[in-house]
Amino acid sequence: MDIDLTGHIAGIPEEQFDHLDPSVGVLGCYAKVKLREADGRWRVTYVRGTDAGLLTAAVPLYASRMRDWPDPAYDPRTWALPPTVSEGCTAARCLVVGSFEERCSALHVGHSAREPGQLRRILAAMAQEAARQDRYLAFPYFPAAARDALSAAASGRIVWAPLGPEAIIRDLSDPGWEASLSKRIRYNLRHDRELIEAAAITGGHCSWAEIEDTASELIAKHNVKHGHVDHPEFVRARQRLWAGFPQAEHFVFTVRSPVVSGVEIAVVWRDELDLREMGLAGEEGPDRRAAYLDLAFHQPIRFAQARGLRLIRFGMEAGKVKAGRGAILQDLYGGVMTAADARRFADEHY
Amino acid sequence: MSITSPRPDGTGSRPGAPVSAPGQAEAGATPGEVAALIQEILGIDEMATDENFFDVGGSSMLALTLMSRIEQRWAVTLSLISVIQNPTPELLAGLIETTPPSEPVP
Repeated sequence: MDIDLTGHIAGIPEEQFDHLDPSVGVLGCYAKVKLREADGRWRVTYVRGTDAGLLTAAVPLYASRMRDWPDPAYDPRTWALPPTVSEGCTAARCLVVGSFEERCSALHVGHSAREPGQLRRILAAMAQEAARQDRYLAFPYFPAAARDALSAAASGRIVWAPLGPEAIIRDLSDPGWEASLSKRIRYNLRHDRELIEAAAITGGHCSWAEIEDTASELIAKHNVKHGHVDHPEFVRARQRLWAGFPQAEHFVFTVRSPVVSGVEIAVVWRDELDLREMGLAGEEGPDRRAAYLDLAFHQPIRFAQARGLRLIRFGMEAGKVKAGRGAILQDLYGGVMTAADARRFADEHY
Repeated sequence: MSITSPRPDGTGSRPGAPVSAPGQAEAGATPGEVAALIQEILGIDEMATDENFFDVGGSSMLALTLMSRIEQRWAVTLSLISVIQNPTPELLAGLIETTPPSEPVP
């Protein structure tokens, strides 16, 4: 395997890139990764592996230009890591592996190159780049399979912490999906539908452009209420990026009742539906709960089934509620290789 | 290119200069004027016109301040995504030149 560094994804074949990690959703696909290159807050370098002319790895490493983490959820100092590992992890001292947004990462390394000996060489190139820039390597929001592969290659030099579960529903295109669920989950789904009907919820979907101002306000307020840093203009910035990605269908689910209104951003890519951003206004109570359930589950599930979509990705919020509606929870992990360990690892293996 | 923006010299674009009153927006923007505005917002002494706003202390939140000050001064409403994707004074000046003026608020 030959390994080199490149600053642009343009020289990497799209189809081969999208086959590296089959678990990758829309947020890790070539077109989305390419869009991230235009973000002036970050510099990107790709560690590329090729074998007999075929792409075996293309791992993005993002270096923040900013002094502070734009999303504190990416700051390794907020993860349950030993302080001796994370205390130096300012935004300016980290190379972020995979992605810096949406709490969703991928390991863009093909199956054959995930064998410890091969992956160690790729990791050594990443560590060499980190050492050159005197930075830590941060691995945010990686699933267990990627964490295990990296750990086996890293000789114990990456320290991991659990960051919480991501909820996914698979096999939705199977007409027997609901019937295959446990009695308890089927009861929850039936009970939800009764609540939604009683609350006189009106649902629908529309384009982002039709609802941009209202939706930006709702989502930003919702996120701030849940302790996240946000602003309507940040929401607009995140959503307008999708205009540069014609391969994905980007739209908004809506709910309305006399006392509640809400929106959820939806992205369809291939046979998947991705749901990451919600805004819901209205006083706590049965109507708000009904609106939440309709927006978060029942509308997306009906939509996905009508369109023959196979999978829904629900993001990381409210995992227990989602598991109670048939979602599978997949734990995600954050890892750090310190700058000192990156230097040692590069010296030993690069 | 690495040109340092105008130092405080008595011109209208110096750091601390008052922004235009509503309805008196300036026409056009030079890279030096945008650099001077960023210097004022970030409290820094110098900025080259090809330097990145986020390299010299800018953040997403401060980008909102920059957008607001650009609107006050040049009557042009930029989006955050356009600032993030055009983060140097040279690129921002070009954006100000090519973006239609905002509608005046009645």
